[in-house]
Amino acid sequence: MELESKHFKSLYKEQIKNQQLRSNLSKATLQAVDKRAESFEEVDFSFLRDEAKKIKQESITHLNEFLSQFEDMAQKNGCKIFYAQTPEKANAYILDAALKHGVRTIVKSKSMVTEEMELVPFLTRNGIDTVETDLGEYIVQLANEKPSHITTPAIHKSRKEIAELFHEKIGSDLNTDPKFLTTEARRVLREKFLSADMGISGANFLIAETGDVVIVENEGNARLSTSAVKVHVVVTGIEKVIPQFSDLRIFMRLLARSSTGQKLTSYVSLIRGPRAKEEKDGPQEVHIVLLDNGRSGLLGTEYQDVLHCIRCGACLNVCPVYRNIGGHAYGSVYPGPIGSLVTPLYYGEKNAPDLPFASSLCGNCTEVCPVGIDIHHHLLALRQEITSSKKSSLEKFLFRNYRKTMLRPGRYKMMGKAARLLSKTGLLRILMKSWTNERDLPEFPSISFRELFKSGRLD
Amino acid sequence: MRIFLFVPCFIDQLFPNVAVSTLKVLRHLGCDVVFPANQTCCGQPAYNSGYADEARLMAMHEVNAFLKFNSAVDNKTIEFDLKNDYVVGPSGSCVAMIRNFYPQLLSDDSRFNEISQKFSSRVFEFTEFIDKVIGIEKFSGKLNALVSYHDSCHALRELGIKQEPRDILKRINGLRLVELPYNEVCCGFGGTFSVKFPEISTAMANEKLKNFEETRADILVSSDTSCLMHLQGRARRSGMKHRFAHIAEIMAESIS
Repeated sequence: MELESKHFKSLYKEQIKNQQLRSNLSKATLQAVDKRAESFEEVDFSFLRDEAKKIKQESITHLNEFLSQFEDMAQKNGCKIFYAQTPEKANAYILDAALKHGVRTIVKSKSMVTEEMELVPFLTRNGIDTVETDLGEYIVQLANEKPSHITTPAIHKSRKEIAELFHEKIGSDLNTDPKFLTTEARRVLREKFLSADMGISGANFLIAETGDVVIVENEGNARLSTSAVKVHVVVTGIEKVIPQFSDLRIFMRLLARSSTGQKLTSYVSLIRGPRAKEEKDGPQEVHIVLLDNGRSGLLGTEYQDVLHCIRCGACLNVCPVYRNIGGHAYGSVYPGPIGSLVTPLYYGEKNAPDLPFASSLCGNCTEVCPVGIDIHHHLLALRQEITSSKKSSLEKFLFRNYRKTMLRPGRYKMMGKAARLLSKTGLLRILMKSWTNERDLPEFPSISFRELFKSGRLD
Repeated sequence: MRIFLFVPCFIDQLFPNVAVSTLKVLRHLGCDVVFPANQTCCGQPAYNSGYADEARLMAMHEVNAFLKFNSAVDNKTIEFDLKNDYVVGPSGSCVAMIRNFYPQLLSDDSRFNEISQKFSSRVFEFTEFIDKVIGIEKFSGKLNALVSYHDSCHALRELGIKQEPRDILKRINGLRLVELPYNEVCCGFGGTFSVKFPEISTAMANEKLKNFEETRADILVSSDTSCLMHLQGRARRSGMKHRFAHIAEIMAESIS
């Protein structure tokens, strides 16, 4: 499979020209950064992070055991489990379930895994009306775009742009008031909820001990799309399993704070199977589709902790690169720092040869990661893998010569002098045009420190 | 206290005044400073660009250059005492390369494995050295200036330096420090990142410079010259006249 992320360089150059986009992103992400910081003032972030990391390490190290424990429990609770190695297999299973029940309309809540599968276009192509019910996802679906952020899919859009979109697509008045816009979306979506036969959701956590599916959200749309339908399909990655119910006490304190700066989201749903005999409501069937799609390839490698990710989006919000180019520039389902890891690791380096380099390695992502993923050092390690897989390149040649110069202090001194002389001619400006196109070079001194030191003038 | 002065290559070649100022301040604080003349580049540009093998060779060269050299002054052989001597450099970024990354880069080499661990632990960034080893109370100065401080990401996150430079600046009479909004956000330099993705790099510089202008300070001070080179280059191109100075330069001026 070939991904758009291959063309990151041309994608980001387009996006960065968009001033409106950058202003939208800057406002939204910096606000998220501030709110996150504030929300962690009252709890001990590093303690919670270390605990969360321990739990995730345990889960991922023994992934197979916890998955099969989850499977046993979920089946006892009446759920049907399906493991899908690839998106195609997952899509086919879901379509099959939909056809079996004669499903015409599906309400869907947020799930990045379904983005990996391109599930919505797939179902739509197969004649099933599939509607995103998360407000951000709904906006993105109306605009015929893809989410540009893991937790806030329409972060790239301003209120004005959303109002125009609603005006055009669902006939709303041109009004930028968020309350109005939300009510408008609700007006359309209520109808869909009432007519839907199937609901599709993601999952934030799967609990091995109890077989519970945990969904964290703010709009209540996930709860509706999982309870007011005949059939509920959970779609998630195999890495979402955690050992015990009590582990939630750590993640519940971390996830919302990292993501939106809330202490807790408005809704936390714990789903334990379909409607029981004595119950009056709830779905008649619950299917749980567990997608691999490259994940198990990370097990046992130095990148295993990438599977700890709880998709909070904190690393995107703090990332100054993301803030300036937006999620669509990455050409991948997962943008930002975690996306620059996940994309080459799931889909192969050839699909994302530039992403690991598109970081100043500032380390802010690693600092805020609630599960302790060493994001920026992993990017560095991936850079090494990518350069060593190349037989030859101009850059390789330059670094080899750079090293040769640095191993010989005499040659280093001579080259330094030459560069300083060259700076007087203007030639250096031309040679360094990736620097000088938008920045001045410093004024080069006539003498280096070592020459000064040797001359005795500093004594 | 004997110090082996670590002068990163681009400071040596392009910003000698930063090294001169570092030397001056350390001497002023009573240190005996020697300069290992065979040092060149710590290897960070290669390492961060994905060329670990090239970086490893440079790391070996650099460790050797510090462990033993002939003095430029009297040609006497000077050996690094791993128990008592220190390496001090005016760059959080290059110090992080030696202290944090040399041990793992050289861990597979039987000749360098042990020595690089010991050596790396003796390497300090200039402001943290003054704070942790010399004692900050030994320093005081006088300079009328309104400054803002830029944290380099490597000093901040790889080395955990945040308060040290601020505490030092507070000991300069007449100097007023105004904090930058979002002072923990990267300036966009990032080594070869700055030329591989120049549009992103300069967009990040623009944000930093906008925040700097908001402080109304005259000088942007940092402990990393690479960030300053990038920010100053962008500032000059946009017509900003502010001064960009390494903290060692400000300290040296404050004691003269």
